[in-house]
Amino acid sequence: MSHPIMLDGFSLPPPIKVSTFTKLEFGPVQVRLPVLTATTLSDVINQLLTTQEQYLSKQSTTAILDMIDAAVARWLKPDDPIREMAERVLPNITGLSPAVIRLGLTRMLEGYRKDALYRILRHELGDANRLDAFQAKNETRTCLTRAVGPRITTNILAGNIPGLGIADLIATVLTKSACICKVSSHEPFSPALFAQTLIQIEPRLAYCLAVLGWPGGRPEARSLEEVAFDRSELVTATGSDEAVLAVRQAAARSQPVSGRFIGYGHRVSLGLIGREALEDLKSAAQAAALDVAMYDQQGCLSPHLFYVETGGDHFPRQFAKALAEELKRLEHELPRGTLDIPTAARLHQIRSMAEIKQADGEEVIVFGSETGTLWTVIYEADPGFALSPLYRTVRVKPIDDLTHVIPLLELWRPYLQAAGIAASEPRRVLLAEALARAGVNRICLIGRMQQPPVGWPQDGRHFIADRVRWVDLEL
Amino acid sequence: MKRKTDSIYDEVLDFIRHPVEGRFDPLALQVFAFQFERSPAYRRYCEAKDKTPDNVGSWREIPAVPTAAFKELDLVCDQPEKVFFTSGTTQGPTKRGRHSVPRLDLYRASVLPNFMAHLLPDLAELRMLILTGSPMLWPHSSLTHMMEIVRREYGGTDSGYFVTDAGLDLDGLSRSLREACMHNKPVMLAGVTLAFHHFLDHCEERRMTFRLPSGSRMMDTGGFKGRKINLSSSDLYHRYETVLGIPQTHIVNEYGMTEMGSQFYDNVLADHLNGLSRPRHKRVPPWVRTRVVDPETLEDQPPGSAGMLRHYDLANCGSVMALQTEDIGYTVGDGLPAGQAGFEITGRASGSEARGCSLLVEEILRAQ
Repeated sequence: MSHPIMLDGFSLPPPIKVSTFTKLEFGPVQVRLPVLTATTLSDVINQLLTTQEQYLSKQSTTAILDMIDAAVARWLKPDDPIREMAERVLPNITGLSPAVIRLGLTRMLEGYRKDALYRILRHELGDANRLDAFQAKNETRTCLTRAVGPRITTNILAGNIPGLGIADLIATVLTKSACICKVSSHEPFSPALFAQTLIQIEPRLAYCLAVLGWPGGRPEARSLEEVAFDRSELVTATGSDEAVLAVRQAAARSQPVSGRFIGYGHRVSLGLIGREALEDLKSAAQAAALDVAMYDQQGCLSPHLFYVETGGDHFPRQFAKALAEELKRLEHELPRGTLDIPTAARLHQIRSMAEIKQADGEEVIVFGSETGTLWTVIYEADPGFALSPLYRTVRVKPIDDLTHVIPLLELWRPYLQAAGIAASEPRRVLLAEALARAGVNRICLIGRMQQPPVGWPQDGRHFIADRVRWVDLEL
Repeated sequence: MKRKTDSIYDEVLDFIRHPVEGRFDPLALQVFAFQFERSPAYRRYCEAKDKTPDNVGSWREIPAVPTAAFKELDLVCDQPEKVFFTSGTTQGPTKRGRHSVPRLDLYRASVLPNFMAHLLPDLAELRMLILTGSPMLWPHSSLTHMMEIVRREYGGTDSGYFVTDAGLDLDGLSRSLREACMHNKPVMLAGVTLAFHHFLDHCEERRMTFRLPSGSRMMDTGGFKGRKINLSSSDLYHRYETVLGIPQTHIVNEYGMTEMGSQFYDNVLADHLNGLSRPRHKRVPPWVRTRVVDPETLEDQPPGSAGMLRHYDLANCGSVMALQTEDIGYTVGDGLPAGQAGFEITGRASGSEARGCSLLVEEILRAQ
């Protein structure tokens, strides 16, 4: 790795050319992004709209699904040069370990296969071809209905999970919308690489996409945001609450009132371990450890803590110990990534604080990697919901009954995303009712938290249906 | 027992007053043994790390306690003469850190020579204009306690405090500065960065500037911790220079904390008066050692490489000597042995990098 690897984090439709670039550096990897003017961006949008009108709007959903599937297949093929490139550079860009990147990409992209996307379209729209033509709305057949996507969508992407932006790109294309993807400076590469993949499959589809970057929220980007938002019928933003709010405000200034905005902000998840699951302590701990290790807890589906029910075959603190052992084992299989100094310092601090509380006689037990901050499990009797500093730092808290967790979530209601549960199915179903009312959007098995099926209700929303408008034809 | 207690404090006091090469290490080990014996929580913390007076052979091996621990428990070896509280700006009133100090004479012994060496190396007698609350107003502030020690010992006539219960006395301060200019009498300004920032805003709005007499100087401390102010220290020093007429060689930043009996000061004024020209950095007094460690390996970082700051302060003899701070910095290669070399602070431990959809600890704590 003596020579820097130069990559392009953008994809622009021809004949657009840009001559100035900025470079983002990630150790030996450099990612180039174009410096755009409002005029160039306007030209890009005109070009996208032309191709959307002449090509994409006329494609059937099935045809689009086939093209996406062909691209996804290349990302899933271990020896494909595109897949190899992603695996080679994403560890540098994200700081995650190569093993986590490999597993993450495979699991994520498996969800974007044709069958899965088809099922989502059918489920969300009532019929998978509702984006192609008017179809009967009800049995009387006096009214037909269809879905129409935006002509153009701007997606402001997050960078916490590698490849996450590809989902926005796919959803946009499935609604037959032209697409501007503004990449995150934390992961500015995979959306462009996916666009490059599409160019090799069907350039006309790929040229309905522009992947680019601008310094979001900063004064110099204001004119670019105005152009993009003014012309987009839909603006989506994923990121920190602060970033999403800034985009929402900017979009509100530029979009007509009828323009749509979808924001995905800060979210937290948690795990619940029922007493019956403690019978097989090792399996429960294994599943929980995987949920913690995947993406080093950087995802909104990563558990911040586990509530473990008392009264089972093992004590909650035994679960904490078992979880620690599994995290230790995973350190070989799925090592944690590298951290910058301030983050590692924070983890060290959190662990030392728990150690001093333990020394002070509080009901706290710390299990941690012998060297460094690779993983930390803090068993803590205090039942309060506590956020984790992430990067494989997790708390385990005992609870008399899993239903007692519900009132503890009240303060976190606007931020809740997923709850993983290890318990019998009847209890999971019962608990799900209460969790749904408490604000949780996805309830799944422990061990599956990081494998959401495509179309899972992120922030409680539909994957495709929230992006379309409905048109009725009354006969 | 009482006798033994007194003897360790007295030994430290003697060392601070007359630092002798080679005495820090044995004294640090004695203090560690004392704190290990006297503070049950600290003892158990050390035992869990398998560090005891029997197997610790150097000050660097003494287990460091996170400064945040002062919010959770009372780490003290004897009945305190005084308890200092942190200002508690970022968390609720129940989460203020408290530092119990059994012997204030130790505190005083550490404050005076260090302040003198870095702010009054020329032994000037200056009127001190202090931008903190008075001891009456801020009875629990360690900074005020320190300023009061310094004011009584070194402050010229009419030295005093400019933060009142109504806030910073902007007019009073302006008046005092004008007097200083008129009578050509140099002054020392000392206080918290936020108060200076406020005063600079006030002056800039009114296009008011001062040409303070030569020899005037200032000490600021605290920075913008926990505030949403984006201003680099060089920008800030430039503003001090422009508005107050104090050259950057006479602007000394202090770095201290409630949890620590000793302070650190910038080298600039002492260097200037000694004809030295070195980049701005913090100096380590002889009774303190500072390590910059890699948070993963806990080994010393080479000069210039960032790490966590750990201080070992003998003036903390009555509480905990070894402190793990949340500050990030690097040591300066100044030829001194590791621990005694100067350092600079570059930031704080974070959980603060805004990444994706996972929520940040601090943000939600602030929202609570």
